[in-house]
Amino acid sequence: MAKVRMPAHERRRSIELSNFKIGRLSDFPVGTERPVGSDSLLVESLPEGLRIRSISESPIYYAIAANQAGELSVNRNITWPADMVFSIMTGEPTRLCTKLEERT
Amino acid sequence: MSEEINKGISRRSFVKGMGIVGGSLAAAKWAQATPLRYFKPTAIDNPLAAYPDREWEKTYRNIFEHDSEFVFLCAPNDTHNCLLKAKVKNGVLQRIGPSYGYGKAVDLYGNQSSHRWDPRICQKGLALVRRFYGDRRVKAPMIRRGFKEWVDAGYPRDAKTGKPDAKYFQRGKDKWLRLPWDQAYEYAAKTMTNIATTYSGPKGEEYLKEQNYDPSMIHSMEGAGVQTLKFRGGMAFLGATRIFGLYRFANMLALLDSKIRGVGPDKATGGRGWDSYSWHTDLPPGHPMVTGQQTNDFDLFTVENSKLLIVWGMNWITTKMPDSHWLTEARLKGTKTVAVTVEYSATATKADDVLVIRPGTDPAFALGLCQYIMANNLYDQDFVENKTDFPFLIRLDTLQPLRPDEFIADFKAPELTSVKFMQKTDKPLPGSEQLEQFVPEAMRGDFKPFVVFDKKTKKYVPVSRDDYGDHAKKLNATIELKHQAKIKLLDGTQVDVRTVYSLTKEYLDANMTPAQVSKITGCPATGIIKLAKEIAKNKEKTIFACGMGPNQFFNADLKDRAIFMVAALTRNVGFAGGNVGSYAGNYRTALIGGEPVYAAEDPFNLQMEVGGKPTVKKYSHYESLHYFNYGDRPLKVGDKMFTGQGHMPAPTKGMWLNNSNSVIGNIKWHFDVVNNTLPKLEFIAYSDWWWTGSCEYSDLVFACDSWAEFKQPDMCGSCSNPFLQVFPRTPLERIFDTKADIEIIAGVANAMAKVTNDKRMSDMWKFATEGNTSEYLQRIVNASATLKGNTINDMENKAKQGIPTLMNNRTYPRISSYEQARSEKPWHTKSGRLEFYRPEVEFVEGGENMVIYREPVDSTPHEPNVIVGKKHAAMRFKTPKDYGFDEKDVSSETRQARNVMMSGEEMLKSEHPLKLKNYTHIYHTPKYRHGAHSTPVDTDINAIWFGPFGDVYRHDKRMPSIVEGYVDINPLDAKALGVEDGDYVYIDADPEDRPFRGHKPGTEEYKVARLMLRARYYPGTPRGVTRTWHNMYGSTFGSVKGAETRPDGLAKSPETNYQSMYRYGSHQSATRAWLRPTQMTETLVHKTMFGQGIEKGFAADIHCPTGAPRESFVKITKAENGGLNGQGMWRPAALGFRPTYENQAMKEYLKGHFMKKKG
Repeated sequence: MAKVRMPAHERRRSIELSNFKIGRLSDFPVGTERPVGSDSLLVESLPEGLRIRSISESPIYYAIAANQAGELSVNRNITWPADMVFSIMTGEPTRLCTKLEERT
Repeated sequence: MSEEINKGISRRSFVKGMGIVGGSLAAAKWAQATPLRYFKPTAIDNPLAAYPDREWEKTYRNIFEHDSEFVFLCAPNDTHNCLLKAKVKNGVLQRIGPSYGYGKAVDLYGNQSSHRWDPRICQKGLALVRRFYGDRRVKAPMIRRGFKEWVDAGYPRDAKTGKPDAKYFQRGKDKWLRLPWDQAYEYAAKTMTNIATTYSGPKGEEYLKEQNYDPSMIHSMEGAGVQTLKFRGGMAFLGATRIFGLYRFANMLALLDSKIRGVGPDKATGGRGWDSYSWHTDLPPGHPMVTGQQTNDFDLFTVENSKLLIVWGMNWITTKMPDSHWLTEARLKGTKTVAVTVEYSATATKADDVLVIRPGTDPAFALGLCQYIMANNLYDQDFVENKTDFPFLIRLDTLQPLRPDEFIADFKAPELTSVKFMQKTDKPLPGSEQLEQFVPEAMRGDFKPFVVFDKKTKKYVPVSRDDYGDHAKKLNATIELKHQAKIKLLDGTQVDVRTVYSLTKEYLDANMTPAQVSKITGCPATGIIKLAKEIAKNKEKTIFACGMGPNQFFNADLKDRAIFMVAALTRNVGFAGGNVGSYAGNYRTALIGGEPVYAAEDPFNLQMEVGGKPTVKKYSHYESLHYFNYGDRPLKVGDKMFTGQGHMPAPTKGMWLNNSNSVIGNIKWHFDVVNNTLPKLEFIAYSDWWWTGSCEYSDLVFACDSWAEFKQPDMCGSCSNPFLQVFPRTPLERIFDTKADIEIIAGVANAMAKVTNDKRMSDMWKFATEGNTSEYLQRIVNASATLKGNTINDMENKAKQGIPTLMNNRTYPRISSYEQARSEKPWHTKSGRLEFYRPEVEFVEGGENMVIYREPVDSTPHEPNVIVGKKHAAMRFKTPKDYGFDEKDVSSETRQARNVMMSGEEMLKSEHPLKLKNYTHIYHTPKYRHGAHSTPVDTDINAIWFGPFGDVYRHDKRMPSIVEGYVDINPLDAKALGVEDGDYVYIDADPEDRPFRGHKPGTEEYKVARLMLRARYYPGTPRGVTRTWHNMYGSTFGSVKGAETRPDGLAKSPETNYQSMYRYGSHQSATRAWLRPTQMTETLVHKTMFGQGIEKGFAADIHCPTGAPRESFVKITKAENGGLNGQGMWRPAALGFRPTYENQAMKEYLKGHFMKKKG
């Protein structure tokens, strides 16, 4: 099957949009929601951590990471389940947990 | 050709050209006209006229170029503060270096320091970048979920006991949630208000009784629930406003108490403040017993004025990093250096003589020196007779000083001029204006005259406090130091009297000859004699630089008293080249004497004007943290309460700390605190910028700015250098969602103002809330004798250039006891002299009225805590029977108050009770250079140096981190135990109470608490003595969960990122809390913290328990092989590079055969 190559200008755009910085932790006070990325994505700041999703009726949740300078970025090449958040304590994904028995 | 090269070639055109070349060989001809032409051979006719363009090299040179730089202050509790320069690129701090501004520091008189202070930095400062951006930063305010649910449920409590349900308090195992700042403040304010309300009044008292608190503790609260709230700014001298801010907050709580109990300012009380300096065992507890001062010390750079430097229990070279060069330079100038140490330390390698002693036998060693000096009349007669209490007569019937009015009819004591007795209506002058010593009228009885014997006139001569130093010469008495006689009192009775000198000498001659001391300490008698002679030869020129090591034993105060005795006998107290100093922590807040105008500003009478003068009124109470450490209880043994009422702690129901990991994370007896004490608490809050073991067990954690991100200035000083150092505000953007410490305190106060509807709580922090903390700092500066005349803005501007401010001390270097040595002022003691006899009842009953020797309380193969001595007329201590317990009871609890005397020979034949159970080794836990307490130890780039087990790749997945804790053990001891170098071993201390009271093998709590670590063969430690550095982060429930469940095996909490350096347990598994009766007296007279006041009894950081955190006696059992993943021997040992495993090449290397000498 013949490969179809994406035009160069489209490839560049795709790379830019799939992984970009969204700000610092202090930009997302807990309990707030904030659009980022030309308003196509929404960052939800939950007590358990940060979650980012597409703004649509069937939202897609994406991975969040932090670099060593404390800057946060979204990676649209990786999707997360809806109950996964970016833990600000560990810098790693963690599951939302609401039940008492799940705590320990 | 050269012209073409000089035209240059851009990267773009080069790549473009190459691309074309790669694209088509057919275009070769065309390529001749492209950039490929540059690849023609270079032919330069005259290299002086032409040279290839090297602009491209800038790409590499500029890798380290920075965009901007700024200065910040690094000030953990260790090497006493360094202004450092931070280099920033693309908004990110890249690297850190020294400021080189110390030589530019000036005082108000224009005195300038020298550039010998530069450069000033250590490896911890260099590595801070990795900490500022580290994965364990507290990144936002966090609340423990169970605690939040308790608060949200409205603080439900058991109706009878008042206790909340334990389900809300699963600390260390619970989840964490991020909070908005305002909510975090509100949760803290509401909870403290609730606790204070719950435990106030009769109902609160009833609850506390039901919770089994000691009645004396409940009584000490005077019905005020706010006193169950404890605050601690750790080593508060390191932050005049932000760390001391918690003490200001505690004082502010008088407003809360006023509201809860409906009382006025006359009856209101604040929260309780915990100690720091004494808590860390930094306080040399015998200093106030001899000098009245908190600590006698000197700026370290005075060492070059000495001819003989005795570095005693102090690893100067490693622990005083930016100041270690002063020791080196002194040596270059001819100062002889002697190390008194328990191992062959780094400092020992720099010494001319090294005297290695058994840990904890320092008092005996010092007394051995005294014995030789006295027995051979090598002492300085003038100093001994006029500046010490040695000539004073003691009645042998009462063991109290003989007083003139007891045998001279109608004797009237002279009105003293060396101290002013203050009536209740008298108000002391502000601290910076106090020139004379003063004391409450109620203490007049403590200042009665003493009596000496004049051997020329054969008469007894009264000596008042005014007859100190050279002033004694007006008595014109020829003092008989060794006098002993019977004297007839006014009531007709005849009593034996003897001088302090005579009594002391008898004890020393009977028990502390060099030969006897040699047997106790392990140091050869010749070494003791040699040192004694050298000290006596170097009057005013012998410096005793003492470290924390010996402070950490139960007999620490006896060590201080004995070392001072050596120094006093040889005229070595108070001189530039001859003095006694203690260096542990950073404590001397008295240097910023104006601190009370901030920390104790009257919350009922606030100064709201900029430039206004605040009113000082202390509503808060202080207590020693050692009681919290002891299970939140005082020391009661048999039927005797040993904790004086003035020392009595209140029950702890809530605590808020900053700059402090030593109260939970790295606390002595950590696992007892976690399992037995913390469950009693209802609120634990920490302000920190690094997620510590303390945060692991908290309820609420506030995220603070790191030093590089300060947006509010602060200032601090040091006990070892003459600089006032300002934390300047920095331009670095906050990395996470953090705030300044003082903003956080103000935020909670503002929330409490709303909860209680009392605006004064907000007003208390007005200037901090407005971002004008400088106003508070300026007030402190104005009220401090050492700083008055400076402006905080100038000092901050200088700090921004890396330049500190020189304090206005009387001398550079600062020298404690300088005025006393010159007879300008008396010491702050009852007699005005250095005191070596303590007649107070607690000392007499404890057998320590004279300076004697006791064995360590646990770190000994012999019977612990026994008094070494033979029958002596002045030793009439209380026995176990007197206190109502069995003399044979040597359990840890009773041992603290157990007075049993043995001769040296008997003691050496006796055994530690655990010896019968295969416990074999002293295990001690000192601090080390790669960490200040536990501060930056786990910064990877520092941690890797912490011994031979560092491995950034963690080839062995059992490693808890990239480095791990280990125990140093003498190779011969290890071999005898079947332990190879690098093996994992278990270390178990007294099973009666460690790792915690009530432990049960097989439980999760026990698994987390039992210490397992690597064994390192270390020939530098004597046989029978093992050691683990104090600084490493210990195991928590989270770290153990990480080690057992994470794929990478890291002992890192999956919930919080907390990283332990042990798989199980910690060095604190083997330690416990100890309370010493003579450190809890109501009677010891000493100087106040600030100013020239004299008081008696409890004073935080001056006279209170210091514990014995270095003491334990342990059993060592092999746990696992040291080889990779448990297979075989640890590789460096197997390869023959380790002690006792040396291969032939290593043996040759050690013999120096790898080097050849020319000629």
